[in-house]
Amino acid sequence: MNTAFHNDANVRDLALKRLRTHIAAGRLVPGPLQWNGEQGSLVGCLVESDELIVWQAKLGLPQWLAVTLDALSANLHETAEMEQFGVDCLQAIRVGADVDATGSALVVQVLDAAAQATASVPAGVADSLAAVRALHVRAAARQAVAPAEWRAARKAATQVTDTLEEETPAHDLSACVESAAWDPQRASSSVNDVLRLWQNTCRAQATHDAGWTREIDTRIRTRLQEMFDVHMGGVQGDTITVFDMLAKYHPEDHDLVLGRNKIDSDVAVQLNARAKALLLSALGAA
Amino acid sequence: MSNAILHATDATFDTDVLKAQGLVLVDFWAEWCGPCKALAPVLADIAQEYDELRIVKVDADQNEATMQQQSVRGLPSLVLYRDGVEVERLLGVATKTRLSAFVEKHLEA
Repeated sequence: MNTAFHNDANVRDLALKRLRTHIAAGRLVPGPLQWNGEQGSLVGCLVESDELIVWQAKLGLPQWLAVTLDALSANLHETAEMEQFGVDCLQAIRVGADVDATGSALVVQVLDAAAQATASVPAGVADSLAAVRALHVRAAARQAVAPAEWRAARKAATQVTDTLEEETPAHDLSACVESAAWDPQRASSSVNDVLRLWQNTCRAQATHDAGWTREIDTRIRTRLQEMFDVHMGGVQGDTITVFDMLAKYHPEDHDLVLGRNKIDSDVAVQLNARAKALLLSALGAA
Repeated sequence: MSNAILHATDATFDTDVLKAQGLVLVDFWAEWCGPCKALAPVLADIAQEYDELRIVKVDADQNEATMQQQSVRGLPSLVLYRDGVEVERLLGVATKTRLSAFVEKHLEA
């Protein structure tokens, strides 16, 4: 069991001081955990290490949280936002709290949100979601869940996903569920996987709602290949892209691509904000 | 991120991968590649989980000869070798669930 900041507010404040110092010196490099002695990710700047075990030892916080913080902060555009996010997260955690099981509490909320975002949930997906969710409810309540239970839930969920058509809301929800079938305390990347696939699910539903079909997708992919082969001679240009060519020869399809890109972008912005809010709320509740 | 992950170059790929015994999973990545960054924590997790698997990362921009020799055309590409011979490859970001299944299938083969 971890004890947040080893029950010492100075540990947290020292980490935040390191973060602010490195950010002020331009040493923050958004992305997965890294620290090379001079530059690093959000977590790297907080603990001056690229080892999750050092994060856990220095701050008394679980490894899944470090992976999730780096991933969510990398989606922010401004350094000031990243700094504020790091500060908000650490300050949301009560000194001395045990946030190990908070990963499961967060996953429960994200699974619920992903299911709510999906217009039509097949029975098989609903069943596997309920099974995985139940394991996380137990884990969040600090009840033991055997590795075999996680494995069985993962296997069942994966089998359901494999029966579904790819890039549909139901498929992506099922992929989200199977990615959740891990104990966050033993699989540090799993919470981040769930958040990422929640976004895929919402994106798939939004594009489906906007009228994007498999036929449109196939047609545009075929035309982009045609633009490359025929109009660009199979050579990638320095300034002109296949999308420029698509705009010239098939403007209606280019408009569809722009519309889809906007949907993807809007979903990403909305979901990143919701993910941050859910994480902060879950951390504060521990 | 983990001691279990090696960083190979054009100069060392032959020794680190092609002449290595057992299973070697190679992650071809690039600094500018967002999906490659999303994959990084999953690979670190996998490295912790499977002692019998060697994980090697190759920076695509710095090692073009290896990229050509191994016919890698998209990033991130994960290529699995057994005793130096390619057995399967995955293109794009994979979740821990899928990557574990991929690895276990070959560990049990």
